[in-house]
Amino acid sequence: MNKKVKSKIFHYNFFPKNCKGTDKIISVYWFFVLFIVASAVVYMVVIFYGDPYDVREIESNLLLNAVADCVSEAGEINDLIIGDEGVLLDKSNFFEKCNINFDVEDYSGWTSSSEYFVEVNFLDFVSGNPIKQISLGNLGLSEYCEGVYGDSKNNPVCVEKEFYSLDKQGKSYTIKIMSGVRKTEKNVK
Amino acid sequence: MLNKKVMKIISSHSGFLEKNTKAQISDAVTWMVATIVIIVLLGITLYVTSSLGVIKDVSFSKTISLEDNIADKSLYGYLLTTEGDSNIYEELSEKKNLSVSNGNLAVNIFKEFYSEGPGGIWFGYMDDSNPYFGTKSTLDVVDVAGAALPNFYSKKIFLKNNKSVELLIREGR
Repeated sequence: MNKKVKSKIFHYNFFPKNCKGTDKIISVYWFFVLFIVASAVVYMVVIFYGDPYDVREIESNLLLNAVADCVSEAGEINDLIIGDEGVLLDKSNFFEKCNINFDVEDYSGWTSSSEYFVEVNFLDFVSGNPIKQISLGNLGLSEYCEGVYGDSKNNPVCVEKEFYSLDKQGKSYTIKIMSGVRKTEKNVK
Repeated sequence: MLNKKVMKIISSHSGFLEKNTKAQISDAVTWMVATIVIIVLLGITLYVTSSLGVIKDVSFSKTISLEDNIADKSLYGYLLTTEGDSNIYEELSEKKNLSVSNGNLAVNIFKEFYSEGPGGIWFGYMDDSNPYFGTKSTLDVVDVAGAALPNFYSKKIFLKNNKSVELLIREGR
């Protein structure tokens, strides 16, 4: 190429700028930015709401409170629960007397074995001797509640509380209640 | 009016209305900086979101909470406990402070059941100090790191003769 041709090619007007072309490039850029922003928003929503809320501890506390309300009211053990013959509450009449059920939705095989566990212990307050123990629901959960399988978020969540109460004759009891909820599939990712 | 020859020269010469290269570079830099700013801002929001996403704490204390009906039951049971001819409610309404028997019973119930954690527990009569739970003001309100303890149960029972007893439980999480 001679100098003349070279100078023509490399002249700044050889590829003249086109205003319409510039607009198209900016449009593509805006689509690119829009895509990035939209992707980021979607990703933020996914990471924020993707993991389920683990409400098993609350559910377990609610179950425990329901059982506690059934057993004792205003400091005295209910007549339906304890009488002259001793503790009247047992496995066969627990659901009826406490108006509680362990029904769950049909999800991931939950209906085949109970997702709940409740254990109520009546102890003599003075001596500490056990009087009666009632265990209901999925008894397999009790081992998790006792910490046999360590601490993992996949384990059922258990809550244990105890309180002081009296019977009608004024005898004092320690009542220990333990409740457990499994429902891992819906509460843990 | 421009004549045809002049018009032809103007229209044929592509560089007649030439762009300023410096202006174009300035525009490009602006867009690049804007892009970087957008990406950085998105990165910050992503980081914050992911951090907040981890804190989905909907649990509450396993032992005590603001409206703990379990502690209520123990307190009511304690006040109904009979000592001699009357129950503790009547006894505290008449006397000026906890006695040996009801003081020890309060320790056995409340300290035994609810004194888990670094918070502390206080049960007393009319805000007065007693040998079993000390003074109300000694109840820890902060943990060892100096942070305020969040869980705080308080129940005041009004007795006869304008007297009252109160149970305070603080728990660190």
